[in-house]
Amino acid sequence: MGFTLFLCCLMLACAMMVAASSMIHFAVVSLLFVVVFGSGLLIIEGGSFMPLVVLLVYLGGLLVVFAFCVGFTDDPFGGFWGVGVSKWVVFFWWAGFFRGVYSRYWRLWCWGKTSAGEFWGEVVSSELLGVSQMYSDGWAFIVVCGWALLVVLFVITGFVRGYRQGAFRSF
Amino acid sequence: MSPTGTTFMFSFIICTIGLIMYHTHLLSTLLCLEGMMLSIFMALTMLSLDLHTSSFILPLTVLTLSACEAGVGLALLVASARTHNTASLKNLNLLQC
Repeated sequence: MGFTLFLCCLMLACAMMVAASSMIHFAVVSLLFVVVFGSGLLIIEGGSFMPLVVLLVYLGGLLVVFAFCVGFTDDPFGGFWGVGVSKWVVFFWWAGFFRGVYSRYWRLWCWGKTSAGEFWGEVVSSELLGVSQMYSDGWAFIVVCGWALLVVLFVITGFVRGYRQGAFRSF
Repeated sequence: MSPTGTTFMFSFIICTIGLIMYHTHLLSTLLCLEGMMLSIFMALTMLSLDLHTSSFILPLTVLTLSACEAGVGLALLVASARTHNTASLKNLNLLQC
């Protein structure tokens, strides 16, 4: 239970650094840690296949985003934090996090005392059944999402086509 | 509600606030959108794990559509950088170009 709350607080801190930092390299790395800690939470809840899907597929997509980040930011080390109040929001979040680590009762007062992650072996064995069910009963999912990905391929080629026929024309 | 579900709801709200408040670069907006879709995906996965339905059709649909959204967003980034020489979100205002 304590480890679940630890991962929850770390994931919230990384989500806040995604939302608050205007320095995009750190925001991408924070989103990577959101993915890692969220997958840890799903593993604690009993899933085994979906965290694997997230860690392999989604982090592969995030690698592309990081490459775009390196290529397209002209001032990468400009503003470290966002303007205004967000620096203090992140600072007070981390201060409260470390205070909560050192005082366990404060965390229990803040989050309640529900327990999670009790059915380990049962869910892990039935999850493979869910994957096979996705391919048998969920054939409509395969058709619709494959068609959506194909349409998105043509949409992307329409966006980046040329200097006169693209989506954004400088008139 | 379990603390894990509360965490995913809070991370969705935080990424929404970041999407609303920061209009600096297109990539930061895209990252906040990705965080929102990731929160929805993990909340749906945890819902289907909690209900013991062992059906992952809905979370995988959300993950596929978030991949489509990320692809279209990066294509917008490339188009904006090729035509306007920068990818700042200020240039996407069509009344100013």
